[in-house]
Amino acid sequence: MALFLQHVIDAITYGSQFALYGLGIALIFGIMGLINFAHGELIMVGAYAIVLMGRPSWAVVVLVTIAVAVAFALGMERLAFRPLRGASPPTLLIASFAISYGLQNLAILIEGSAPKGTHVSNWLSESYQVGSVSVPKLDIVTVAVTIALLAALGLFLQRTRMGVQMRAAAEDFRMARILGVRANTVIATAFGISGLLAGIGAYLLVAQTGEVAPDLGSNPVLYAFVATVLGGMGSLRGAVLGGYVFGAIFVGLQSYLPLELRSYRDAFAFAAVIAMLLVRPQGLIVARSVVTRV
Amino acid sequence: MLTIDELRVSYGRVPALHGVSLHVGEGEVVALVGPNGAGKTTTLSAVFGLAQPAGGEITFEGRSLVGSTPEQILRRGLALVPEGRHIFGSLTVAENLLLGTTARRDRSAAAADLEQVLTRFPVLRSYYSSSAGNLSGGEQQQLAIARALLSRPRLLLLDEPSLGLAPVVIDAVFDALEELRADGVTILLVEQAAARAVEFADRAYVLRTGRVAASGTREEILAMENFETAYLGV
Amino acid sequence: MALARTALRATWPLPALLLFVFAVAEIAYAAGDDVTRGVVVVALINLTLVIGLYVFVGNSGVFSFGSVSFASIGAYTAGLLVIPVDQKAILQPDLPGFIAHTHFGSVGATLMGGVVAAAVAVVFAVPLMQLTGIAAGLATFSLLVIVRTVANSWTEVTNGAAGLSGLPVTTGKNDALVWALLAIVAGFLFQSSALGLRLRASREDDVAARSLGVSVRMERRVAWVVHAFVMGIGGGLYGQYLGSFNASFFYLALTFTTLAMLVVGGIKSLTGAVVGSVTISFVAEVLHRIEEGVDVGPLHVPARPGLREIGLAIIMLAILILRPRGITNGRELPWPRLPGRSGDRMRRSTAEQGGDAAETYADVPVKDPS
Repeated sequence: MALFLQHVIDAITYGSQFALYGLGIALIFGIMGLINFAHGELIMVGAYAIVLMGRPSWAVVVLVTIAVAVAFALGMERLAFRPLRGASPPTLLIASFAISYGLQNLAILIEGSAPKGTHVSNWLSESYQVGSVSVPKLDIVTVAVTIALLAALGLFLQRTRMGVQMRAAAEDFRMARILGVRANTVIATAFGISGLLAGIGAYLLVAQTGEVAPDLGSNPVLYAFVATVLGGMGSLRGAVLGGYVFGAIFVGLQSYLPLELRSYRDAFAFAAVIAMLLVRPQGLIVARSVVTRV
Repeated sequence: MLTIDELRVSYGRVPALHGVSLHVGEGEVVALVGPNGAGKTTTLSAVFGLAQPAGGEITFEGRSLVGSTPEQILRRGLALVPEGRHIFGSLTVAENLLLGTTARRDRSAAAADLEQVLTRFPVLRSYYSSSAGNLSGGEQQQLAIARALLSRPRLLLLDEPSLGLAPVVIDAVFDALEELRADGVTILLVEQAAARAVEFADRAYVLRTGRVAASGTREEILAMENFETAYLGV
Repeated sequence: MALARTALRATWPLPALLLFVFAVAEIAYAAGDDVTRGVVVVALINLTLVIGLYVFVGNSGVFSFGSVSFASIGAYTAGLLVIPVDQKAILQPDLPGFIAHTHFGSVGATLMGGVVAAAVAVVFAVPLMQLTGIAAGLATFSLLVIVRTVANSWTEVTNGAAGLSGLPVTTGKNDALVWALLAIVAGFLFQSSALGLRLRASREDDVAARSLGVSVRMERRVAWVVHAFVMGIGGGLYGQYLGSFNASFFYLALTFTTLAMLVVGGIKSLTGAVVGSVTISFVAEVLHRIEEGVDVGPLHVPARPGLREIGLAIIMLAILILRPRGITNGRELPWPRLPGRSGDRMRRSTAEQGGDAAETYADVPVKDPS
């Protein structure tokens, strides 16, 4: 029983991380039809910022990490994606792949390809003991931060003018522009928010793994894809749901697959992605806008 | 107020407009009619920056519109209600209307306009907090017009407002347009329901295969022999 | 006479491309140092892979991010067949019997690499070929991850993350060149075949074609399988060039390289695949030399690993932004035109037809100019 509870905690924690990654992808996809392969590199640059910062207080680390990720997000939008506005979705995907590849190698150029270790926080490394179940503080923080971010994002989208504009742009970009919604502002805001999500995700990831490498972003972005495809591309709620569902699948595969099949975990996950794309491409949640993106 | 001069527009290599010229004076209601594919929507799209002209000039209040983006053109005092209503079904009526005020800086005047629009279109007040997807076709058309009005346009462009609507509903829409005319709003109205539009307008242009085939006052156009058949193939 | 001229213009790209590749490869190989010779072989193998990629992506218009997985399958298959039996017994004692005791020569092993890759493609053909656009991109990418994971985990057969080693290094310039030329021929024959032409016709507007009742699913599946075969061959060649490899070699970096070659050259034509491949191979090598530290006059530019990849990424982005149709602009190699002759009439008549019809069949005029 205790083991099962442990798994549940793990599933919720992983699910939160996947939800964060997935949201970054879904936000931009919803508005622009662009799957940003380079989102993983936003996480990576945030992570390197942490490692290179030395030992200021955790608040400073978090803020700087977010600032770096946001800066890179806005930069890639301005330099690479704005000139490609209106290009076909596969072209945009290839472009984001190129950016991802370029940024990874930029990290190799500047920092070398060997992983660098770092220790983010003593406090976060500790765990609470609840009976025979050990609950890492980092897990609690991860889940709490994710929930808080979701709430904040929800409020932003529902209650602010910019949020309404973004939701309108996601449903019908052309009509939004006809009403005067500035395309550049909406898109830059979306990238900025995805940078924010990436920065926070980076902090939580580095706190968990204790190290950073140029290919740090590869796995998160893959997991983000799984989450968004499962939950429904273009739907923020879907990304979150998909993240948690995948978290459960992830931990489930990890814990309950027969030993010899465990290393195939990723293969199963991506087989699920293919199945989802075939059977229910709109995901588990049908996005309320009528347009089918996939 | 609005002058279009020898406008040419092509989609890729396919020409849609071969040199269209028309003029809308301040306070006028001008109808642009013609059969399917004549280029009426293309004309409005070009005016609003949604299609790039291959040649010709579009001038509003003395300044060219060519090369401006839709966001900029809206802020110059034009508003477009495109064909097919395009209301945001995933947003509420209130949020749809809020989007109409996107370009407004004057919050209190915008609030007053909102009140006025809700009075003019009472159904929008009843559905104010509901999802806009719940409205019927005619109600959505009213929402689309109301939304466009909230930017306080000096020139309102309407593309086929009667499309897909029942006759009774069309009456309601034209009643609303009549009130707008009375308020002094300049209107350029594109319609396939030609007779109705021409009767409503002060002047009309008949477009056919990308060219202006006829133009004149309401009386002149209506008096044209075989107006419906010759020019519209009806 | 006009008919003969038409046929000549239609087939002209093939011998031209073959000659071009042969000439560039031979000259570079003869003139270069040891390092350059290795680069030439790798470039030829990459060319084979890009042709494979083009057979599917260029003809169907559907993007595949998972094609390198077929190269992986080909490499492992060829590798397992070409490693001497006694070596296999020592290094991989858990191999299933029929693999453990079989040994093929280089050519046979490479061919088998293609066959097995094609077989796997057949399995995935029906489900995957229903998808287009982004869904196809994501699904094929998922295939890439799946194959890599399986290769890393199926330790009995693939030796797990350590990969295969001890392959006889048999891929030299001549082998790579012959296979590359064969790939070009195969690509050309495929796109000129009735099946290929039908597929290309639907490429421009899949939705419109389907609404007319034209379903090219079978054609697309065939293209998918053929492309997997060629990718498998390329993978087999790579394995027998490297001597040892693991699954990570056939993953994101190679996917990016082959995709960049195709995109830079131009997705829609065989010429594009060839030109892009040669160009990127050349540019990559130049960047690599700079990366290793180069003397430019009195300046010494210090070694900087990663520079080459960044350069390639920037080039790829620049092409996507500035010239999205690639260097060839979607055209096949044009017949050299003499000014003021029937060439002008041809140019004018194809221009009138409009759009991509002229670009796809650049040398096949609908109206006979004479």
